[in-house]
Amino acid sequence: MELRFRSLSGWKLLGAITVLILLLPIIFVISNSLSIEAESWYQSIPTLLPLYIQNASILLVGICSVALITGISTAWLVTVFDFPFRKHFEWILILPLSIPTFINAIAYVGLTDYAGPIRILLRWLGTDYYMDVMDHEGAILIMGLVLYPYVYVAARSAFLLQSASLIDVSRSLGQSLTKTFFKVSMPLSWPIIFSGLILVIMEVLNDYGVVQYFGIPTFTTGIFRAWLALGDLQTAILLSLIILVFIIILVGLDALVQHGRKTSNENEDQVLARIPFKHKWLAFTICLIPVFFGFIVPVAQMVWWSVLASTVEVWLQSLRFMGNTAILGTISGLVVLLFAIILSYSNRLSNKHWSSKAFSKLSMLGYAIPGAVIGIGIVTLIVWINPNWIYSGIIALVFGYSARFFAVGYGQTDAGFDKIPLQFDDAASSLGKNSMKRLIRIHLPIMKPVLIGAFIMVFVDIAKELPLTLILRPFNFETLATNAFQYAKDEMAPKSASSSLLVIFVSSVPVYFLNKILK
Amino acid sequence: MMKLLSTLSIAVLLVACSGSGSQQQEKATESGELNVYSNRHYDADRILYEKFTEQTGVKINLVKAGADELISRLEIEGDKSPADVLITVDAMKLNRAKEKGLLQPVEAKTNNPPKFIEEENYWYAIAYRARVIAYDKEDVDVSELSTYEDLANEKWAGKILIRSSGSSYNQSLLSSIIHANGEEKAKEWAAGIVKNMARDPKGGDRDQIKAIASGVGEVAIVNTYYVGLLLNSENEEEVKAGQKVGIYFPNQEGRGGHINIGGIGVTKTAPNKENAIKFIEFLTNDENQKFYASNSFEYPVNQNVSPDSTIASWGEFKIDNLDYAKKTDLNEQAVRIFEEVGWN
Amino acid sequence: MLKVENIKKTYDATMAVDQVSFEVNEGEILSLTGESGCGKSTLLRIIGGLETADSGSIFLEGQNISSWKPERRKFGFVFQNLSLFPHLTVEKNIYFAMSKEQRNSKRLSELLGMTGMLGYEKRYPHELSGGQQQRVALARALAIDPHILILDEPFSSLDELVKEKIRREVFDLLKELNITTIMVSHQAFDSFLIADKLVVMRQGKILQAGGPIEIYQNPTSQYVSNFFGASVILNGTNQEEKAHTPFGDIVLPNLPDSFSLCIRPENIAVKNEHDFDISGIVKEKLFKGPHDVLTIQSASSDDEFSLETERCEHGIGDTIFLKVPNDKILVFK
Repeated sequence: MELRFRSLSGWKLLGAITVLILLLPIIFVISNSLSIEAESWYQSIPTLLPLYIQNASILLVGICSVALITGISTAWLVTVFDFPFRKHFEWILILPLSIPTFINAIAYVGLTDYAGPIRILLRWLGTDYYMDVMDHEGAILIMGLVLYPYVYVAARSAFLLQSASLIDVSRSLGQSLTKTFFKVSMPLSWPIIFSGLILVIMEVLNDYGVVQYFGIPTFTTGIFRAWLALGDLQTAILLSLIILVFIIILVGLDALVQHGRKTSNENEDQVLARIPFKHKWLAFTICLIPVFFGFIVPVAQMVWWSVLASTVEVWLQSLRFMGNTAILGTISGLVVLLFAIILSYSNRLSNKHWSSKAFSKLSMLGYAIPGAVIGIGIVTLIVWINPNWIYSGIIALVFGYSARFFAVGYGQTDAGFDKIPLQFDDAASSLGKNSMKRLIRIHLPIMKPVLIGAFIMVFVDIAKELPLTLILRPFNFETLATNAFQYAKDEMAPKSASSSLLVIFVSSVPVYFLNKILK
Repeated sequence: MMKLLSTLSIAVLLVACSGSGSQQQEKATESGELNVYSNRHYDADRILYEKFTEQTGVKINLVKAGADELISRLEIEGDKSPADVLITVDAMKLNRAKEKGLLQPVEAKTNNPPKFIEEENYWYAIAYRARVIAYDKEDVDVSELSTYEDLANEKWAGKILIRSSGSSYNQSLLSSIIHANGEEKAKEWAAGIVKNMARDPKGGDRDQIKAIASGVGEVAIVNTYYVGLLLNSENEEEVKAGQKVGIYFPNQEGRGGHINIGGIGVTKTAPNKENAIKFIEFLTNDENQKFYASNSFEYPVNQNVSPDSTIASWGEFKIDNLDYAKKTDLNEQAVRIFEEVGWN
Repeated sequence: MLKVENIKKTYDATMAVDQVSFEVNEGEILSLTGESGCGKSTLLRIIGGLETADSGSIFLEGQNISSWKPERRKFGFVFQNLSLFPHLTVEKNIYFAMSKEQRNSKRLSELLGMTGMLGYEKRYPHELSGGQQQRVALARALAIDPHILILDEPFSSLDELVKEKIRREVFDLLKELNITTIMVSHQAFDSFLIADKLVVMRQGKILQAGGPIEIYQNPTSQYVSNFFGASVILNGTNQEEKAHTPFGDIVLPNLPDSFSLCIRPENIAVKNEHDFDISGIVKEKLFKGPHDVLTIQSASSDDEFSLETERCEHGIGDTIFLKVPNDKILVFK
């Protein structure tokens, strides 16, 4: 078609449509709740709110602290210093991300309870000691240990982006490395680290598995209690909205912070010379600790379980489900990328006012709402469009994942676009390349590593996803996660081990390659 | 300009559509299929579904998710729903589905006693579990045990283990206590249990028994199904933990022990109603109930069949009726009481 | 003041710095120069303590400081770019270099005054021009009272006009303060204008060290000669104690068998057919303001060279006769 319209408005429109599409499930879930008669207004919610807020705050503060301390310190070590196995730690440190929080909780309970290996060993030694990980501290550590990679990935890329000469200058001006870290590197990296932290916060706020298992009442407990025990979807959604408002504030803050940031990475002529760490095995140990407790320990526990409970048949079955997980993750990951590219690029073409960026960030809200709630919105939406989409294919699932995990892919894609100097666009358009050609021939090739990274993060999240998958999957369709969780929830953890291990496996392989590509 | 992007998105959508089982829906509505919404996910169920297909030629299409997600989904789908039957593990959930107009009454030939069939034939039970008292064989004198109500007595201070109130089993138990004793008494009971708890409510049922083995408490309220699982665990230490506890059926002098049923109802808009009825009859017939009785740690509902696995060794017992489950608003009262007495 | 002894550094298999030694005296400005990748920046970083040498030592006033951390050395660094902290104002950037007790507005004004940046205290780096940023960076480096100032390609990111001015100012300031300075530059003339001493490096080794004039006039290798400005290079052979080149023969003492002759263009004079050493045909003539750039081809072969001369009358195709004083000819094997 030869209809000529200015490409800018075209992209703007596309961007706006993308945001709308991604917000549709939330819009539908809210409108859905309004249509339900308010007969069973859940009276006690107001009295319980303080308790939810208290518990959610404890968990948030605790988990964010664990994630920040672990993520930033390890990222700092592997970027600035040199020590044994440093190169391998670069990607190994991401691995805990592949372990679903609930599965990690089950593994730790299984490790420390009466029938767990630690207690067996203690009894064999002629003693015994009751251990309880099912409390606030346990939840903080168990979740923090598998969520810190969000911060780690962000912090590492922030440190790498920083001009090495800033660190050099600071040291030559008489500041020690530690002071340099606090006075120069941290203030400059904080905006990027903060966007990683937001992902952690959203994960914590919508977690249901761990808090329910550990008996810690928080917002999700309230949401599910209202909905599951009382069939009161409206109250459930009201509670979700409270979380949502909180997240909107955070996202707005994020947009403001990013707005105020002046990038300093015009040219990166200098490669950071890694400084040999004085006590090299200390650095090694610091990096090993989160990997050990966030990955090796739970995986070892699951290997032990699978040895106990998994037969060849169980493994074969799990392997079949692995195909489904891989297909879903791949397709949905690509769709997320497509949406993210459209939205980021349309933002780039229009002048980047922070309010328009903030509007785009609304599309990330899907990540903040419990999957089951968003699932209801998607079912409503799809039944409204064409019910066959659910029963006869994975399109509903793909859409659901996209709406839910858009935040994970978008943040990185957007940051990736920001890194490309605008002069490239000008140069290309002066060479007669229109916006589409510029995107395909300039931006996408430059951003390849970023896009692959974003894709893998989304893939890993999808591989772990449960509630959406349960409600949106077609008949007779299992993924590794559904298979693992169903056994785990039915207190048959050993039987879930083979599927859990495969979830970790399919997520770890791409993480390994991610790091290779990024080099 | 956006041609490429749109082509790309269409391509992705097409791939997504053709992903799996295309056109299942149309076939399903024709005949020879049965669409099942279930929140039971046990291997025994899977084996029986396969057997059903083998015997009748009717293919089963299964969606497994939480009971409430499934009920919400049925509600949203309305008359477009492909579902034929809804299977859940709690009578109250089935009654809620009935109240929401999602089920229809059907006549199925079963050997279920009346208490295991909904009054107006809206649903049929297929198996049940009992919520019993597990006690430390060493430290607890069985003669001390009597009823659920008695556990609120001071003598059990610091000894009771139970999971959190988020568990539908606990909500169901408290509902039945409200039904039997009234709201006031029920609240006193819940407050008494909270006072007597050995630790904050947390974990699953298996965890309570392992806590007894660890010496944290002496008495736990648990579901027989999980005790059965524990005693047949692949981990011999779990078996040992299970062997440390005895099973006591409470309220035998009175209304009987509390149970949770698994049941099946035909949806209002079931496209394959005939098959659905066949399926109910299949699941409750003597042969398959025997299969449940010997392969699952649940009690059969067919009156001609008796339990035949680990759980049979605990003997027979008197069960409470399911009248409480008819009043679905009891569940809300129960939840509120839990909150008021601080039972997390 | 500073002595560098036998510094050696390898990356993987490549030798970055190979047994380098030199010395800087108090108040001297030393320039490390050479093409990119010659090892000068690595050497600078080793001196600054930002990298560790594989072997060799660095002495500051006789004291071995090889193992000192950069923060202890008090060497003020000014980098090519990016060296200001983007999240701090000018004032805070400078205070960054001072301890809490040292921070006072008098010292600040003094430093900003020296570098001509008074009045910009509250600005952020991105609000300053490139030249202004470089002045602030200098002020900041001076704020630590450095033993030695280290300038890493300090002018190369500035545009020509500003560069000239700043270079002048920096030179005056360094001399006024009598600060020992080591700078790195890949631009030969930066070094000429500012340095007391030059160290030319190639492939990790020092090719030549000495004063600017000495190095310009007496380069010890063709590479060094070329590095500091265009030279006319003529390849020749020894024929009966005469240098035989495609453009004619020149009488020179002590010639090896085959060699290159290297002549600075300013030493070549255009003469006539009665008084010349070499000749050729003007193949191309370019106008370059006060100069002409000629491409001169040999009459007997395809060899050619280009020569920048005063404006001349010759047209294309004319034969041109050139005279070279033989004490101004450098002979390299």
